[in-house]
Amino acid sequence: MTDLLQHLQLGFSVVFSFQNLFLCLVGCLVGTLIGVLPGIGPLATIAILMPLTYNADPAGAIIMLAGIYYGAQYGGSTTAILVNMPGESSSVVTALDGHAMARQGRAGKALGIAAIGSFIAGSFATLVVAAVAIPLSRLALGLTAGNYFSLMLLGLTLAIVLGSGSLLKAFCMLLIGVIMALVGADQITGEARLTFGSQVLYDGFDMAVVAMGLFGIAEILRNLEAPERRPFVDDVVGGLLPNRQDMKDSAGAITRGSLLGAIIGIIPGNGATLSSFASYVLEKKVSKHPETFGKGAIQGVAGPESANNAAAQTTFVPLLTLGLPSTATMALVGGAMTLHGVVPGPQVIDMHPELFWGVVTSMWLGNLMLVIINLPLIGIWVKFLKVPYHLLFPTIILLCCVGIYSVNSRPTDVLMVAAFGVIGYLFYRLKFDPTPLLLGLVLGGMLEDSLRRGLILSRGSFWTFLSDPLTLVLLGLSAVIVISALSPSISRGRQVLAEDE
Amino acid sequence: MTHEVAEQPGREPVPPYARLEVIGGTTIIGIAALVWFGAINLAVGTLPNFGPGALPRVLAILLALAGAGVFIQGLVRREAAFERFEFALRPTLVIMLAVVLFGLFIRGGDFGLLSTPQLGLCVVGPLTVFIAGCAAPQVNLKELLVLAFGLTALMLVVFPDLLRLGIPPFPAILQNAIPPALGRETALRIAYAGYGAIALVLYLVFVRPDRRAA
Amino acid sequence: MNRTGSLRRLGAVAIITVALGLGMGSALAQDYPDRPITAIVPFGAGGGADTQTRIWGEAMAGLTGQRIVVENVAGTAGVAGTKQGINAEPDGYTVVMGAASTIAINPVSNPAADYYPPRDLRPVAVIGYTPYVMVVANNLGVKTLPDLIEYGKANEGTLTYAGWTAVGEFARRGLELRTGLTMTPVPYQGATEAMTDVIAGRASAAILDISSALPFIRSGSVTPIVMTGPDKSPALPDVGTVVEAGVENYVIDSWIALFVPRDTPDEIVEYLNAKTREALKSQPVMDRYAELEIEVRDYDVEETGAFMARQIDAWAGLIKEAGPTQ
Repeated sequence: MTDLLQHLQLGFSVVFSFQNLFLCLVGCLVGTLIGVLPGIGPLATIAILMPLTYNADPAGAIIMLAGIYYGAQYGGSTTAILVNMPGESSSVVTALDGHAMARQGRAGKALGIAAIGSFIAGSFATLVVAAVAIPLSRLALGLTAGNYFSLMLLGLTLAIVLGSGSLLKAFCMLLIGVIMALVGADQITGEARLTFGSQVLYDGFDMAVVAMGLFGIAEILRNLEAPERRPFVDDVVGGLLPNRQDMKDSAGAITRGSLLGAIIGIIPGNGATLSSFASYVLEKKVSKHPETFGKGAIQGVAGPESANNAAAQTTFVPLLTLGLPSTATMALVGGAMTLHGVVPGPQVIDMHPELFWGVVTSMWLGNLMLVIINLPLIGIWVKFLKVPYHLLFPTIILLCCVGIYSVNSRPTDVLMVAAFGVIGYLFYRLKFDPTPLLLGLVLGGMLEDSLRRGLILSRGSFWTFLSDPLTLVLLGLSAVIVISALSPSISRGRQVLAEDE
Repeated sequence: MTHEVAEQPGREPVPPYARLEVIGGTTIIGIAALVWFGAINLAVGTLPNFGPGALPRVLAILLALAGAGVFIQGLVRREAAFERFEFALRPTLVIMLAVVLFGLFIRGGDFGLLSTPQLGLCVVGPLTVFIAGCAAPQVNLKELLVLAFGLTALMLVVFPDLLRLGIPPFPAILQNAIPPALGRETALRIAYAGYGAIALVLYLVFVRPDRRAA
Repeated sequence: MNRTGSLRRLGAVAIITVALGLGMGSALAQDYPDRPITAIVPFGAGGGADTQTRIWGEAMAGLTGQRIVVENVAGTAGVAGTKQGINAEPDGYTVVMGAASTIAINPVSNPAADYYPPRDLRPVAVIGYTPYVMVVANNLGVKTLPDLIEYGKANEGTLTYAGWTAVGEFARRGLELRTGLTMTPVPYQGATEAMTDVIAGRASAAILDISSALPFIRSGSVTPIVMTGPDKSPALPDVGTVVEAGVENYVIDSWIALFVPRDTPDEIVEYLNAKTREALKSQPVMDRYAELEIEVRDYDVEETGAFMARQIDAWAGLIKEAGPTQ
């Protein structure tokens, strides 16, 4: 316990520098801003804004990225409540009761309880991250190549199963991602692989480029299909602070949401989305008046919002302790860390304690900033909601181009973004969700390496490789998950999830 | 944003070749074939030390199988018969043109088939915004012009000046003609101030009267 | 002040101005640099080369009065950026950073690198020098290189070598050639993963830069057995060098150096060399370098050239003997 406090104190000493406070604030504000704009989720936001962090030191850069991440989450909830347009999948359920509240003229209260719930859940999740990080990273140091391989397999399996849409199609996307990770020159021998003689592919696929194309540009192409429909935004937001009765009504929901979210977030897979759905179902089950859900029940906002925020923070745990990103967004954050010379993994806590604890405490601080700075700014965010899309999307296009060019000063990167934009849109039209592709791209290299390493070290015996009990358990778990996902009842559940989105 | 146009399945059954999943499955199988072809010359190696060609081949086979699965679903599943593949070609082409132009001319260079000169953000920026903006279903050229200059000015402030990222602001010819006495930084500042002023004037002359009228 | 006095003064000013103006054409370097200098780093942002360049650039900006714009031109294992540097205007406003991989290794081993540094580039100064060290797993119980060789002979085929770069791979092959030691290469994604396995004893040995290795050495998690460069490191005074261990013709180390296009005038090269050496002696640079375990090589232009020639020869020789990695 005293250790924990000492660590948090170290973290605060890092965060409370002028530069880092400023970066955290900028991250939260810019994240919210872009999260509020329709059609850009946190993933695209981080991809677009990553270059902004290049001039900061590693800790500052990650703090800012983290700020963008939950700022975007928060922005997504704002649009969900005000105009019934969830900025991303984890605030889909928020829209159900949140927008209903807005129609009743209680938009301010919905926003207020979402922010307060998120803050409480965030504070709790920060403590959870701080508490489990050290034991988990100690554990990770003992993991063999085989353990890592099976752990990654489990994570990828969960990512496919918990994602939306057809399992088979998600599997296709994942495979393509893993194959893309193998493209390029071997870092030891320099031998070019799957480059088809092209110099451009010699360095492999850059994750930021792929993400920006598949999610940033493709999203714009999707939105341009239909004639522009201006969202109706009511200027009357109403009082922001929930009254005593509201607080009493939502206290339980916030508590349950925080717990649920913190746990689900640690498990690989899309924790934030899953936890918000789970929390909504749970609240409806425990409520004495389940019939009010969907008609403006405050618990239906408080629970899922707390849950997705807690989960959003604990998704950092696998990345920072095991080096394994469990969502595409985390993969991008991991990529940014590597870019700043900090390779995510069990060593981060020991080698960069100031960075690690700085990031953990900045999560809490970021949540606080979102409550005390963003709520009063709600009027401004509402104005941004009214920016017409025909002016917004050329802006995003130019930002993407300038942003991606400034990463490596490589004109071909810009051309690749264009190509992946078309590919992403094509996949969307063919109803393939490219999220697993990005995860495959991130983990593919590690997957091959750990498999090869495991086999070299076990002298080619698959049995020695597999016989490690932990490896067996993890592989078994993956198998069970795949089989159960194929069973009729669960696949129906997934269908419902997909349709809601 | 809504996708009503595209999402409404037609009442009429779709012929097999135009079905969504049939095309999707074929695409995946095509990618698998490409990967297999690319891996032909790579060594497979042995189990204790497998070569660079091993995993691509295994994955290509798995991908082909999964693609075949999607293909078959498209033929067999009842709902699949109503899902037609659609693609909005015009906005896609316009947006691609905008982004590709940016890539080709921002710094210029040798792209195999063609060599391009450096035009810099001053020229490429407004072009990209303007062309991209033409992808919208309804285009307001006046507003777009204001946006093109205003945004480029903003980008020039943020990226080369504030963040000091090495993005070329000027065309190559102009860059070398800047007198040393002036210096590039001053030239840059003059450029974005000028662009900002253009945007403002255009706004006052074109857009505001229109808004008032409306 | 009377009228004639101020006129005379005006005249003097005019003469000086004209003289300066005439001088400008002949002695360009006197005005150099009058605008920002672009430093091309042929690797992505955040790596060792990038970090050192930025530290150097900060100090240079103070000394030259012009800022240094760091441009990361990553691509084709550093070939793209190096070629961009080679083809830049030789006016001193574009400089390019070089490392062992882009200057000494790629031109010999990578067909994509169709340039030849001794012909196409002029070495200006060494920005930083980082020694390499060989570390082994504690559970082997060996303390020196001869110990390891003996252990390898006694336990045939059990030693493994964690590698993640071309430099590391050539380091292994070279060592095997020179000492008769054999180690099975095991691929890793990067130093962090590799060290995790060496600490746990799952891999036996690795050769890596001292700044990455020191945290693990200081915590006693791995055993340093030999410095692979010509000199001992002040950070590890007890660790001997390969030369002391009787290994000949074997040098593995890493450096970042400043290069300019071939036709850059001598005055500019001398100017950059002098300012760089001054920059490396400034307090902020010394502090940051101490943190990162980077050493300074205070070479003039000629010494820098000789250093590069030695490096290029040594690598070419080793690669020729060890054969291509493919």
